[in-house]
Amino acid sequence: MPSPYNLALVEHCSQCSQRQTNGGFCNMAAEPVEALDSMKFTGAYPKGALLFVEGEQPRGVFVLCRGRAKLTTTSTEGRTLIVKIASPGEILGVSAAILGRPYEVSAETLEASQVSFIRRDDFLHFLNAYSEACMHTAQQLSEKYESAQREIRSLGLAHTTSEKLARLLLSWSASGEETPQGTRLQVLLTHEEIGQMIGTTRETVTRLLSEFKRKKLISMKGSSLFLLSTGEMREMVST
Amino acid sequence: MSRSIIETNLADRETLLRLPAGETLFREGETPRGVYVLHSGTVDLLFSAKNGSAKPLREAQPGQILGLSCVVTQRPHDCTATAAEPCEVAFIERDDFLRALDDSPAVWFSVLRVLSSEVNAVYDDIRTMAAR
Repeated sequence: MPSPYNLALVEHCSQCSQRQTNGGFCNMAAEPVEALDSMKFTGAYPKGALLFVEGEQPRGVFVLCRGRAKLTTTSTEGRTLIVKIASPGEILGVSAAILGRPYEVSAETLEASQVSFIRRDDFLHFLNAYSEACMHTAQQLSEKYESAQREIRSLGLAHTTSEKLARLLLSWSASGEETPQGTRLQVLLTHEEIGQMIGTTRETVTRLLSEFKRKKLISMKGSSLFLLSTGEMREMVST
Repeated sequence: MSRSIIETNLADRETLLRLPAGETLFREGETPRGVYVLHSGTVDLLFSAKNGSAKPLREAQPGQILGLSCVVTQRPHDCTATAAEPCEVAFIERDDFLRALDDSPAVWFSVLRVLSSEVNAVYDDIRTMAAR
């Protein structure tokens, strides 16, 4: 059946097979899932769609059902920084919706994605009705807190840029696929976006990746990146 | 304000601790046993670099709840908390804490507000740190 952006859209949370496996916000008992189903609006978005922007008054929260999205903020000197890459099962815009304050970050899809929107009032009533929803929201907030904390550590410690890049690639290797050619990483980010994750320019990322290639730490094929020697790369990371 | 709702609801479940300056509440990597509500004094939150040196992360002020996110996710403490001066801290065990939340949506909501503010505070830190 044809569908927007060839996404296998699932209309009802109760019928979503990914709900149980993604360990995310929506992995709840039947009753709250039914409530979630009745108040959410689900839709398909192309790559590069903005779900909400930093500074905007909170309209509601967004559950990422399928696909990936980057969360960005702007530094005090105007640089764009990626604070997190969100994956399926994550709920976005929560702290703003709970506090009733403007969104702290912008959310933009990195690939065609299915996203479910819940209006702010509906979401607050949902939290009030189900303590399981509160627990899952608390876990989502804590997870965002911890990943932002990790970002601070890597910005705060005196790392060289090549060390930061090595650290980023190693963090991706956890979800990579082992192949005879090495650990295969699916890189959805452009060099510019990688730069925004580690606080450097596109040019530096391109230069460092060629350097890693020359040192036989990585190899590249299309949008795949292979880690050839995770051991050597770990040695580059000091903390 | 939201913190006082939490503090009143937890009052009968807490154990009061008096810490001299320099005493450690919990260490990075330890499994969280519960949450700590700081009543008075300041607590330094530190994380360790691989070379063993401790780096300051932030300073906790009275009213703040420590260990909240780790108790919710059941992950090890991500920093070490040490009293910077004599402190009064209320400790609430994890199970007691979660039970108190399930008894009252209002307390749950206050906890979500605290967590939300913490998330926003870290994003603020990222914005200023990246500018350095």
